[in-house]
Formats: sequence, C-alpha cells, structure tokens
Amino acid sequence: MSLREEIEKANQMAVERMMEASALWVDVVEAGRKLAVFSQPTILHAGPPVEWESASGPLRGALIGATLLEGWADDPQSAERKLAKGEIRLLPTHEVGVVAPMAGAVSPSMPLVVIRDPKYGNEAYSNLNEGIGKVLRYGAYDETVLKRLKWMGSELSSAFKAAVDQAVKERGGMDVKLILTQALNMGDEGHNRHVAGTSLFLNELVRYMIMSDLPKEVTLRVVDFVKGNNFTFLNFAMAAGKVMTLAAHNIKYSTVITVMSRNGTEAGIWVSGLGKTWFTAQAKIPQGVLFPGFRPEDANPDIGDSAITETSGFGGFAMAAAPSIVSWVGGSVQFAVENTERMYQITLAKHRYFKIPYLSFQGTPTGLDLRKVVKTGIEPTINTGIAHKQPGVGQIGAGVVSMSIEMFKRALRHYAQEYGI
Amino acid sequence: MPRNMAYKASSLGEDLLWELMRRGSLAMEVAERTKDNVYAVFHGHLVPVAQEPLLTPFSVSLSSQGPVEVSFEGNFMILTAHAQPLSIGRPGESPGEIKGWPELVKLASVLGSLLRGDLDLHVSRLALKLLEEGWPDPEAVIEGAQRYVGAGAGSTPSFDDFLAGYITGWGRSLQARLDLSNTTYLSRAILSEVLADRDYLVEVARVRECAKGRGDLLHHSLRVASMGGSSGIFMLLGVTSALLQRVGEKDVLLKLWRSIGGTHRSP
Repeated sequence: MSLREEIEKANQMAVERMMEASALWVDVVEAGRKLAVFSQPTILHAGPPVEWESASGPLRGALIGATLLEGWADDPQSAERKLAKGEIRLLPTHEVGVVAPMAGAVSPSMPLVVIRDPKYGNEAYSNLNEGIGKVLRYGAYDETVLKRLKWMGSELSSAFKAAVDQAVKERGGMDVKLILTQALNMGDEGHNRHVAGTSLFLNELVRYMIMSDLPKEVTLRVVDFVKGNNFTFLNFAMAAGKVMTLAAHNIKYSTVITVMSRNGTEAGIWVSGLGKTWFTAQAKIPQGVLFPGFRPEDANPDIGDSAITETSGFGGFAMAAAPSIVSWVGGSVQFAVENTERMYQITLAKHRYFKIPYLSFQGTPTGLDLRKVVKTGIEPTINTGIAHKQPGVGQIGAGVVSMSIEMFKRALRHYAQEYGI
Repeated sequence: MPRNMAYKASSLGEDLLWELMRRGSLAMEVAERTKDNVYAVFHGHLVPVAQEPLLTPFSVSLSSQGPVEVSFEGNFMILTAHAQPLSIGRPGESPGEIKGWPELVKLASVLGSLLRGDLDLHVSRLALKLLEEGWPDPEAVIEGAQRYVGAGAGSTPSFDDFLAGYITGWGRSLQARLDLSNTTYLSRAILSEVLADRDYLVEVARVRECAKGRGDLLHHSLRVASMGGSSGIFMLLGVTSALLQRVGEKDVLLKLWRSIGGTHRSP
C-alpha cells in the first residue's frame, strides 16, 4: 500500500471512530480515588507541560487555590513557595485522560465526572464547572472560591453521583453525545455557548435526582446552581469530546489532530499517529468582548483544555450553528458562518451526527488534518474565555483565538521523519 | 479581485522593482484574472499580482499598507512608487552539495499524500513513467515530457506544475526546449519564464538551494506546497525529483512517486 493510501486509510478510521464513539456519563468520583498519579502531591493543569517558573498568572492562581483547597499550605505565600520548590508535582491533564477548562487545575479531592465510551472502551474525565466570574479555573482563589469548591466536592458531587447512579441503573448512563447533538440544533456550538445543552442536561438530571430520593432542599440547591450556570454542561461536553478523540488517537499513519490545548503560556497539539508527543508554540491572546472595566492589555494568553471541543468537531468549528454566540465572543453572524466554512478546508469529514441547521444540516467540520493545516496555512479557530493575566482576578471576557501554525509545522516535520519515505 | 480599485504593495519582484524605481511609475496590461490573482504583462514578462502571489522577479505583493500604489484602470494596472518597497530576490544558484535530499523526500512524500482526484493521480503516474524511462538523463525526461504538456486540471495543469519544479530543480545545468502550444496561457507564460530563468519561481528555487544547506528547508517546502490547489505540491515533487536525479537516487525517486499513488511498473 502506498503512503498516501496508508494515510487515507488511517485517517478514515480515525474520523470514523471519532464520530461513532459514544459518550455516556456513568459516574462521579474523587480524582484521588480514580487516578494513580495522585499517590503523591500532584495537581493537574490544562495544556502542554509547564513548570511553575513559566506558568501564567491565572494558572499560578489556580495552582495556589488547589494547594490551599487540599490543605497542603495554610496561606497563598506558603502555597507559592511549595509550588516553586517543586514539592507539588504538576502534570498535564490530557496525559491522564482528563480535560478541564481554563487553568484546568485538578487536585485529588476534586470530583471528576466519568464519561465512558463502551463502543471503543475508553474513559475520559472532567471536573465540575464553577460558573463564570471569580472562579478557580480563571485563577481566583479567595475564600468564596474555596468555599464553593468545597460545596461542589461534597453536596453537589454527592447529588450528581446519586443521579448518575440512577441513570446507570435505568439506561446505562446519561447520553452526553445525544444532548450535544440536540444542543447544536438549538443554537449552541458546544464550547462557549451551552444554554441549550445545560437546559437539556438539567431536564435529565432532575428526573434522576427525584428518583434517587435526595432531600428536597439538596435537590433545590443543586437545581438552582445548575440553572444559574449555563456552563455546567461545558465540562461534560469536554469529557465527551475527549472520549471521542481518544477513539481516534494512536492510529499508525493518521494525521488527525487528537488534542489541542493551552496552558496560558504555550499551546500544544497531539497527532493521532505520533502518540503523546506534544508539539507546542506560544499561546495567542484571544480577541473578543471584555467585561466592563477591563482592557485588552489585561488579557492573558489563551488557556484551557476546552479546545477539545473543536478537536472533536464542535465548538468554534460549529460556530455557524450558534448565531447568538457572537454577542458573547464578538464578531458578526457572517463571521461565525465564514469561520465554519473555513474549517471545512482543514478537516477531513462532515460529522455524521453533529449538524448545523443554518447550513442545511451539513455535518460540522470534523477530523482536523495536520497536512491540510500546513498546506493551507489556515489556523484552527477556537472559541474561548479570556482570563486576566494576574492571578486571583478571574474571567474578564470571551472571544476567539487561533492555534499558531508553528506547532503544526513542528508536528509535520516530526511526522515526516517518522512516516515519510 | 475587484476591478477599478486602488491597492498598496509592500514588495515587488527584483526586476520589476528595478524598472519601477528607475521610472517612478509603470503601466501594464492585465492579461488574466482569477478569483484571487491578477496577471499582467510587462515587457513580455508575466507579472503575478495578489496578496500572496506566485513569487517571481516580476511579482507584486499586495498589502493593506505599502510604499507602492497599485491602481487598476480598465484593463491596465498602474504602479506608482512613493518609496522603495521590499524586493523579492532570486536566491541564485550555489555550487553546494545536495545534502538535504532525505529530509526533502520525507516532506514531499507526506505533502504529496494530499493529492486527490483521478486527474492528479493520473498525472503522478505519468511523471513516474517519464522519470523511470528517462533515467538518468534529464534531457530525455524533458523530451518525453513534451507529449504530456498541458495534462491535468486547473489554470496551470498539474503536469506543467511538476515540469516547472523539475526544470527549476536542475537549475542552469539543464538545457531544455519545449513546445508549449498545447497548454493554457498562464502555464505557457510560467514555463517560458522558467525555461529562460531557472530562478523565476523564486520559492521553488529556494527549496533547491535549501537542499544544499542554504536556509530552512521545511519553511520553504511548505511555502511551495501551499501554492494553489495542487500546483505547489506538484512543483515540490518536481524540484525533489530533479534533485534526486542529480544525486543519483533512482530507487528513492521511484519510491517517492509510488508512495503518492503512482503505480507504473516497467515491464
């Protein structure tokens, strides 16, 4: 078989598996109980590997917050000292199957949602979403942030666990992919807009919570929390995206991108046929709509694992499905449509299940091809939140950013060394 | 590209620039328009005009700002210099050894895998047959190429793109003559220029020189590959083929073409 045919066959398989993977929510577990990496003091973070010295403000803030939450330090100064000395290990989330938005700090006591793909036998995990504004994932760590995280690790996660156990009992779990598919038909793009997704999720959740006999006041608090945070579904969608891309990963010869992620300093990608090797470049600063009182120079370079949504064929790639997104990230409806159209040029397929009503129910651009990115020079577009560059401040806006072509060029060089004749 | 509008240019091909700086302004007839490009003619030379034009000694690279005013009036393009723009220069040919061919082959095989469609794959088989039959004599390849000129799709047919890359790859060491009456206007113009000036396709010539250690081979290979739909890929395969012939790597050359879909086997 020629190299061209080998690549074509591998990519077909990768895209097919990505589209056909299931994504069932089956559990909520404490991170420390699920992942062996937490056998020593460890905090996971979004994006490619990074050391404390080069970590950005929001990532530093989140790491300090996670250290305080775990009780590994009594105050931010001693947390910083421990982190700087390397007494707490930092590991990229993706390397252990976790995805988490923005800073992506995950420490052992935090709850993880478990998304399972029975079809290809993979599992992926994400933390729970705290809401917008002053939150850990944007680098805030004051008392209100830590108090909310503690509640999320106890009452909220217990309620979610009870509900998902019920869902597993009744139907083998909650079908996150189905919710995502419906949400894309209801004006979400699955990354920065989850108005439909969170509502659909809540519709299901409520029933399972009632069936699991939770106290009424707990149910009410959980429902109010989810209802008040349209981004609740983001983390579920991300873990679903991760489990889909896991199905497409590690296929010999495949040039499909299976990870795109940022740590606030660098952005990085994985290529299916190149295993877990990171190819990185400087993370760009998102352009978009800032909350009142903030200026463009306050913005940190892009951060978070949430680009897994684009990697798996929704998010920014499906912007044409979400005209309302432009009020949140800036631009015009025309821009949203053009962006999706542009992404078709660097992808291999139109998604079989994720459809865009406005484009006559065409499938979303799916299966980002390393070769097409470098051939066309078109950088993948990501919808994203904007973090303040100083630790402790939080989210200051939302916008659009692209992944630098440089990391794709590096990956191509490596790919050519590995597979070129 | 809209007609009757004014643009700016930031860089010009070195030959056109020299004329413009000497005369202050130049007017030339527009010979062809495509969606993103305009092709004018100056003293018999093709002048590619676009935001990212084919880089030649006569190209005009448009940008939002720049010291050269570019206006279109009817079927004419007028260049007016207010200051000196950047120059798109020929890389020149060096006598160095072609040590970079293994890396170039790897890149070309991966980028070549993007070729799709029956016509492009057919052209790749023609190229394989031609190179195999003509080995080791480049003149024999050119002679054989005569019957395929114009084969393939697009305003510059794929076979012609391959040939333009191949001739550039051989540099001045190749004496070549071709009857170009069977191809498109644009392709005829480009191939005529390449036959007269081995550095006319500046980026392709840079790949040839990078293979001798003069610059970033990956960067320039990607620049070439990014041209047009499949034009750049065929040019890259062309220059790579010439370099492999120059270093006597017949097996690698045949393997390269077979890796992208060529299936010709000698009897």
